[in-house]
Amino acid sequence: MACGGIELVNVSKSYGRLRALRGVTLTVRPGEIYGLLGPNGAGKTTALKIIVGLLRPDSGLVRVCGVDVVAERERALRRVGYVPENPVVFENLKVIEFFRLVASLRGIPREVFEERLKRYVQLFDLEGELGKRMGKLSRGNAQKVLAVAAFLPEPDVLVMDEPMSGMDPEAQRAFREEVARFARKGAAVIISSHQLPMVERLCTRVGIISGGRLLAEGALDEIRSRVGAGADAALEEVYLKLVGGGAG
Amino acid sequence: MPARTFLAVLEALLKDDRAHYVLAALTAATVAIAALAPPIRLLQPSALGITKREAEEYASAALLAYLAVTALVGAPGRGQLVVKKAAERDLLLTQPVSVRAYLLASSVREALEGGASFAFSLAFAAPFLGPGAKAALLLPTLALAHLFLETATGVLGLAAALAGARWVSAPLLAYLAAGVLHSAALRSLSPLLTAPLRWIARPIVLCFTLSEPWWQVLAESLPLAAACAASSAAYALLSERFAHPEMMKLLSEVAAEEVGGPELSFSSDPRSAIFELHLKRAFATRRHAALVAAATASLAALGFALARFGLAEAIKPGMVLVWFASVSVGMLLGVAAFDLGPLWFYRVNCADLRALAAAVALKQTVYLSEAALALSAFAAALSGRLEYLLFPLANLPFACASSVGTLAAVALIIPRKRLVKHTQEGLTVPEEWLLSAALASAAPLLLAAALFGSLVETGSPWLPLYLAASFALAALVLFVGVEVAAELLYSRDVAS
Repeated sequence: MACGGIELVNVSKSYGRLRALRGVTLTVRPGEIYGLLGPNGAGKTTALKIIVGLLRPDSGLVRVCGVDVVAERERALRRVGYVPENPVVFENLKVIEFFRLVASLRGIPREVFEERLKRYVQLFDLEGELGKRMGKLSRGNAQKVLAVAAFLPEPDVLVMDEPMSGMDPEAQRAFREEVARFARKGAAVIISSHQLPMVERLCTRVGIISGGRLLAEGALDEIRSRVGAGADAALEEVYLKLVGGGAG
Repeated sequence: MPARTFLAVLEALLKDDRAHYVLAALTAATVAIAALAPPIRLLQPSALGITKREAEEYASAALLAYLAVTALVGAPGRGQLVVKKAAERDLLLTQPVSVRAYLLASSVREALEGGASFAFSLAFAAPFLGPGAKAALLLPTLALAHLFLETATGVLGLAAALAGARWVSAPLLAYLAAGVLHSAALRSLSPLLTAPLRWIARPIVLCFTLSEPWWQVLAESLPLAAACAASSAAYALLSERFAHPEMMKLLSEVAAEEVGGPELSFSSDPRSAIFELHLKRAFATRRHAALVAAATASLAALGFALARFGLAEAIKPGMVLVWFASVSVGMLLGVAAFDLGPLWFYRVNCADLRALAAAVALKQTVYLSEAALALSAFAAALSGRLEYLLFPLANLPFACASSVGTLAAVALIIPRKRLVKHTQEGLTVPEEWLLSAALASAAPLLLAAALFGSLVETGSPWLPLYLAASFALAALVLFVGVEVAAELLYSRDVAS
């Protein structure tokens, strides 16, 4: 595994008059799990969508595995797994058909696909869901399916937007362990989430974004010292100090 | 039900569709066109080969057919009602809004949107058909007619939901069968088919004629207004039986239950997987084949029946085909929006977007061609000219251009809007209009359909050459169009 990870250099993006990202620079190195935090509308989803090529930055540079996403999107994304937040899905496809489609598009050989699928179905307790249509899944099960779809190609880079929303505790645990496994194998992982305890436990580095600007970035200890929080301060406390939500 | 709740729900529904702007613009445009344009008086009903009375009879029979088909096809299962949008169900589940208030507001919304759109399109014909001031009555008359049809089909739907669909469909089918048999015996349209809704058709027809003053048209509309009040009251009364919003089912959920098709298999070729998903699953089903066969056979039977009634002269098959070609593109938007909703998935998984564009464009072209085949069976049966069966081939350039045009139009709105979980809840009224305008680029190809009709009617020896040229043009349009659409799908931002 191991590629060049994720690089955003001075990336900006506007929607009309709304400036969603203002010169964001961040790096996720191979083997790192990066937690992207911020209030609603801070620009997290925009940043992640830019990384996977769904949005084009107005300016700046985006590289995945050392490949420019804007100039060579297909080559860059060949090694990326993506879990979007509340996406439009194939309502009429059964879960098993959806996984087959992922495997077909990603060029996963049949035997490898069946072996991996067997493992993930067991890990996320999806046996009873394989025959259901995607549009009929509960929120949590839909998230599990999208996570498995991202894991199936064994990517070098994982980009995940609120991946655990709706998941039950067992699935959350399985998800965390799987993400950690990927990181151990050298994958670069970026996760956007509001679940601060999970981020604190799972992520090796954290970036806090607000109003389209990256306010702070680094290991939790570094950010703690930067905001003058105590060595045992929880991420929630650090986060609220940074984004100005002291009341919370 | 407090009127305030009803009005608040109606306002929310209209605003959700962004229909308030459209309604205001359409109303102003319709009144201006109808009232200000000088009457040209070129096309009287007599100029179309029918009398005013016959126009009323055809219109009333068509309205009855619409009512019956809507009730038969759209009848929900027992104990359930269908909601158009997830947001509307959420409104019912989370706010103190009764099912009754929602259903009535939803009907009025449909009546206003449908009536205004239809009146606007007819208003262009108003200067040709009648004096201005009277034609301006089209808007309220059509809105009332829409409201009546909405609430009447609503009453039938509620009856079906409460008692079971067959208790509504069986008497309705028996009545229609009696009407058709009686018409066959009379060799003209039976009063069974024309009488029930003549009082709706009459004021609409009178809006277009010259001999009645505007106040008479207004007076003729009063029974329609009274019927609207009665059907709305009946609708409200019946809807009280649906006290629980949990009984409301999303249209998309109902549609998803009906989807069949062969299961998507594992394919080592990504392009094959895309074609299998969009083409094989859509068409390789017994249900689909049966539907196409049934529609074609029904329309052929209708053509034979109308020819027997001596109506072959009054109904110009060529014009029917042109009309079909122009209205059929509307259904494409839904198909394209549904297929391209998960565009994020294709993009992130590095799918071949050319294959995707080709598969979706071909799917739409096949849908249009199947519908064209059914219509051509009608035209052939009506006129006795088998050459009309070749219409799908003549219509191919228009079908292909419409298909790729729809794809391109959907690709253009994808960056701005999270595209549709479900077709029916995806687009607001202005967006639908915008996309329809984008599709107008295919309009010149309608001439192909019109030319085909005249070649068939005159028995021209150029017909084979014309069909060969149509095929070649269609292939070219598809090839170039798919390239353009694929480029747009690749390069535009994706909001969903």
